[in-house]
Amino acid sequence: MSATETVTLTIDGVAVEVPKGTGLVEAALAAGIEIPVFCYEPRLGPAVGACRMCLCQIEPGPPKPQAACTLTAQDGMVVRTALTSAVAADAQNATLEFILVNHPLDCPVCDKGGECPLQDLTFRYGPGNTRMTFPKRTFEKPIPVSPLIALDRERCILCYRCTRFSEGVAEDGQLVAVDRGAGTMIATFGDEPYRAPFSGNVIELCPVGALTSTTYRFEARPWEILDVPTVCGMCPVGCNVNATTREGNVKRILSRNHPEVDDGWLCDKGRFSYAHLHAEDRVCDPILRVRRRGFEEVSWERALDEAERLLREANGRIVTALSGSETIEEAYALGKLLRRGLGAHTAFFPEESSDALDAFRVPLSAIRDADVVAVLGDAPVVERAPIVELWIKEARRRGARVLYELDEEAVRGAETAILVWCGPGGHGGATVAVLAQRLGLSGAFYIPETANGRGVCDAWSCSDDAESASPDPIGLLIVSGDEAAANPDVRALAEKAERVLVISMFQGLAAGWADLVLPGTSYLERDGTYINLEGRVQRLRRTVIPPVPDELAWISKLAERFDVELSPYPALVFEEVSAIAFGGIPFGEIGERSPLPAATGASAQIELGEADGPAVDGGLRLVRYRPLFSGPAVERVHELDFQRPQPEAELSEEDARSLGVRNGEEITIRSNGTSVRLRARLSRELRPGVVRVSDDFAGELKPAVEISK
Amino acid sequence: MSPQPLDSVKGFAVTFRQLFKKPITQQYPEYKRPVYPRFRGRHRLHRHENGLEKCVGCSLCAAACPADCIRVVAEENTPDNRVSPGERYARIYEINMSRCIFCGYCELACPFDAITLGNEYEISEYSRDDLIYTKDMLLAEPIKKVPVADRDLYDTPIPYYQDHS
Amino acid sequence: MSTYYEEVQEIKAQYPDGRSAALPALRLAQEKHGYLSPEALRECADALGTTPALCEAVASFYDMLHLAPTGRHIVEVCTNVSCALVGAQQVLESFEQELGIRAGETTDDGEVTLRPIECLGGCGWATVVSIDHHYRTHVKPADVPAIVQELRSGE
Repeated sequence: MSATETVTLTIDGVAVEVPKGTGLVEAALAAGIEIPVFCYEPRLGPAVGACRMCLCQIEPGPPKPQAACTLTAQDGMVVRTALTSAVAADAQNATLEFILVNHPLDCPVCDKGGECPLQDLTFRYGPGNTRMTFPKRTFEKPIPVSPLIALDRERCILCYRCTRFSEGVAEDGQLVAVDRGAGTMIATFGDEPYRAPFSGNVIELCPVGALTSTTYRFEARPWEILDVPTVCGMCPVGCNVNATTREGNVKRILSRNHPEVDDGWLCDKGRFSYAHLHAEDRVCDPILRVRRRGFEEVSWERALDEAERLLREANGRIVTALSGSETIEEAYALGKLLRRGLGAHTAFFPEESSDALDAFRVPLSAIRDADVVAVLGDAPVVERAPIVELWIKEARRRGARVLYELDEEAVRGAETAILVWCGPGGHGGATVAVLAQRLGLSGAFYIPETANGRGVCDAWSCSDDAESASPDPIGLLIVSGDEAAANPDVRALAEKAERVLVISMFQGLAAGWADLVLPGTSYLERDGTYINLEGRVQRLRRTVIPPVPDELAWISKLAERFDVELSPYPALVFEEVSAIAFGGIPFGEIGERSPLPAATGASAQIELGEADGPAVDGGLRLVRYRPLFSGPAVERVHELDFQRPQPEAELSEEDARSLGVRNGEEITIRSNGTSVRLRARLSRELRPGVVRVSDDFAGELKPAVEISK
Repeated sequence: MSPQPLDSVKGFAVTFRQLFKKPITQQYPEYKRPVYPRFRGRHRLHRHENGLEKCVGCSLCAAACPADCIRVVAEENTPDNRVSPGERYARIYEINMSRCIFCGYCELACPFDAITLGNEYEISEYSRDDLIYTKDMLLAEPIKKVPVADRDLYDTPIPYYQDHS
Repeated sequence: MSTYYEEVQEIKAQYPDGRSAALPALRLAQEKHGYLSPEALRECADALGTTPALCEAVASFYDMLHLAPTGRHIVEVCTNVSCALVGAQQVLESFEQELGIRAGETTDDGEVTLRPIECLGGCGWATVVSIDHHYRTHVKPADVPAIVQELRSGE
C-alpha cells in the first residue's frame, strides 16, 4: 500500500494535515476544534446535512455558511467555525433557535435529559433566550413505534438518523419519514410495529429524546446510573456493551463501540433481554428432590452436602452437559473438579469446536473491506450472529460481491475474499478451514451456535489431560446452564441417567427432572472471559450482584471437599487456563477493547470427518434454524414477544419462479408423512434447492421436502 | 502572688453586674423564637391547585444535592393513576434528613417549584430510620409548627429572577 | 392485459436501481385502486421489491399521490407564495363555504374533494386552481360559485 495522500487546510487559524478524503468534522477534530453536529454520523453512510448545526464559513466557496459535515478536506481550504467567524456563529445560533422553536421544554420529564446532545449543544452554542412566544405545537404522545420503542413527535428534530439507519445500515426499510415539511413524522407502515432485529439502535442514535426505549422509560437519570463495560453473552459475536445499572439492577444495555467487532451496533436480543435477570421463575435457592415427586428449597450448606453425596455415589460415572454460555473460568473449574477430583472426563458439548480456523483469523471488520464475501452453510447469519449480517451488508454496499453459493472462480479472482460459514456441516470450523486453505483465503469465519462454545471446550480440555470411556449407564448427569437444560438431546440423556444435577437460572427449565437444582447466574452477573467467533478473548464484568452465589464460588467450595485446589476468583482461575491455552496473557490485560490475537501459522493437515450435508435428490433441502429471538432468556422477556419468528418459509427466487410461488403466498411444505403450511418469503440470500424454516414452525419435517401451493 | 491584685476583683465585678441585668435565656420548648422568613428548615413538597403533585420525578434535586440525601424513583402516569401533570411522576421520593445539610440546592434545582425548604427545624427522632422522610410525609402539612417572624420586618430584596423576566 | 406486477417489472427494468421506479409504480397503483390504500401500497412494494413503509414515505411526499379516497372531482387550490399574495386563502375559503366542507375533505355525496396544494407552476396567473387536473387561472373568490355550479351540473 502506498503512503496515503494528505491535504493541508486551515481551521480557525490552525493548520492541519489530514489524509485526503477526511470529512471536515474529523479534520477539525484533528486540529482540536469541535464542529457541533446532530445528524452527522459516519457509520450511517454519506452525510446529509439535515440539521445545519455544522454551518461554517469556508473558503473557497459561496459567500455563505456551508454545512461542514457534507464536505471533505481539500488542500488550501480555509475553514472558520463559530469560534472565529461571526457569520458562522450567527448561523449556528439561528439554527438552534429554529430547532428549539418546535422542541418542547420538557427536559425534566424526558429520558434523554442529562445525556442529550441537543441540551449540550444548546448550552454551548445556542442563544440564551428564545423569541418564540407562541404556544408550541403539541402531539399525542408517546406513540408506540414498537413494543420496545416510543416516539415523541414533539421532540423530533428531523435529523433522519433513525430512518437512515433503517434504510442504509440495517436495510430493513421499515422506519421512514412520512409526509413532508413541518408535518414530517417518523413512522412505520400503518400500525405495524418496527419489527426488525436491529430496531433498538435507533434509540441510541436519536440525538434528542424522540425515540426512547420503553423498557428504560423513566427508570433512571444519567447522574444516578453506573455504566459497567462488559460483553454481551447472547451470541457468538460478543458485542461490547455498557450495562447501565441503578441501585443494583440492570436498567438498559448500550453498545460500546469496538470498531473491529460491532462498530457500535447491537441487536435487540442483546439490548433488551437483560430483563431475564428478574424472571418470575428465577431460582434463588437450591432445590432438592425429597421423596418421589416432592421438592423443597434447601440451604446452600445442605445443597453442597447433597451435591457431594451425588458426586461420590456416582463413582466416577458422571457425564457433564455444558451449554456453551459458561465463562472460561467456570468451565475450567467444573472440569478441574470433575476430572481431577473424580476422574469423570466425559462431557457433552453443545456443538463441535475446532481451532483450525485460527490460521485464518481476521477481525470481523475485515468482512467490510473484502471484495468477495462467500456466505455458506445455508443457515441465516442474522439469526445466529446478527452483527455479522450488518458487516456483510456493509460490504455489499461498498461494492463487494456477496455469494450465497460457492463460486470458486470468483473467490480465487478476488483481491480479498472472506468466507463466512453459518449452518450445519461446518464441523466447528474445520470444514471452513479446509475450504479456506484450498482457496488460499486470508480470512474465514465459522459462526457457532453458542456464545462461548469454543471457550468452554478449550477450558474443559485444559483442565486435565486424561481421557476415559463414556460411562454406561450414566450415574450422574450434570447439566450446566439453561441452554443445556433446554436442549432435547440433554433431556434424552437425563432419561438414561440415574441421577441429575442441574445448574439453572429458571425453575421452569430445571424443575421436575432434577434431583438437585443449583441456582445459576447470567452473563451479566459474572466476572470472567468469553471467546467470540473470531477467537478474541473478551472480558465479562459483573454488572450487578446476583441474588445467588456465582458458580465459581460454590464450585471452589465443592472442590475443597474433593481435595482439588481451585480459586474462587476468576482472575486466578484464568491465569491457570491462560498458561495452557492463551499464551499466558494475564486477566488484567484483556482490557475493555480486547485485541485480536495474531493468526497462527497454517495448520499442516486438517482431518475431516464426513462430507457435509446429506444430498437430496429432487425436491428441496430443508434447513431449520434456531431463531434469534428464542432461548431461555429471551422467552422470559415479554417485550420481545413480537419479535418471535413469523410463520414463514424462505425460498430462493429461482426456486420460487420454477414453482410459481409469489412472495407472501401460502405454501405447503411436505416431507414423508408430515406437512406444514407457511407463508412463502422470497430471499435473494439463499441458494436454489434450499428452503429455510425456523424451528418454531418446522415441526416434524425431515431434511428432504417438497413444496406445493 | 499576682502582680496586679485588683484584677480578680475587676473580673468578679463584671459577673456581679450581670446579676442585675434582665436574663436573655429563652425557655426553648415553652417559648419558640420566630425564625427568619428565609430560614431553611424541613422540606415540603407541593401540589397544584387541582390536587396534582408538582413534582414530576426528574431527579434534578438529587443531582444538585451535595449530601446525596434525596432518592427519586419515577414512574409513568396512567389515565387510571394520574399523580402529576405530564407523563412522569415520582413513585418514590425520599429525603434522608439525617444527611441533609439544608443548603437549599434542591429548591434551586427544581424546575417546577415542587420542593421548598420550610421553616420547621424540630425534626429530631429517636431512630435514624424515622429520619427518612417519604413522599407522603413531605406532601403533608408538618405536624409541628414554628412561628415565623414578620416578613416586613426584614429587608428581603426581591430576587433577581422575579424582577427581570 | 398484463398485470400490475408485470407492468412494474417492465418499468423497473429501465432503471439501474429498481426502487427508482417508485413514482411510476405508485401512479399505476393509484390508477388501479383509485387511491393508495394500504393494500395498494403493499402490492406496489411487492412489485418493486421494497417495503410498504418506503412506498408510503414516497407517496406521502407527493401531492398528486392520494393516501385517502378522493371524490369524483378534485379541486386543488394553490396556496404557495404567489397565489397567497393575491388571495388564495380567500379562494380556498369560498370553496369551503360553497361546498360545505373543510379543505382536505370530500363532500358527503362523494362528488368533490377540496385540497390545498403546493405550487402548480402558474405563478404568473395566480391564483391557480386545478379542477380535475385542468388549470383555471386568475381565480377570484367571486368566481367560485360558478365553478362549483359547473362541477355539480356534471360537466
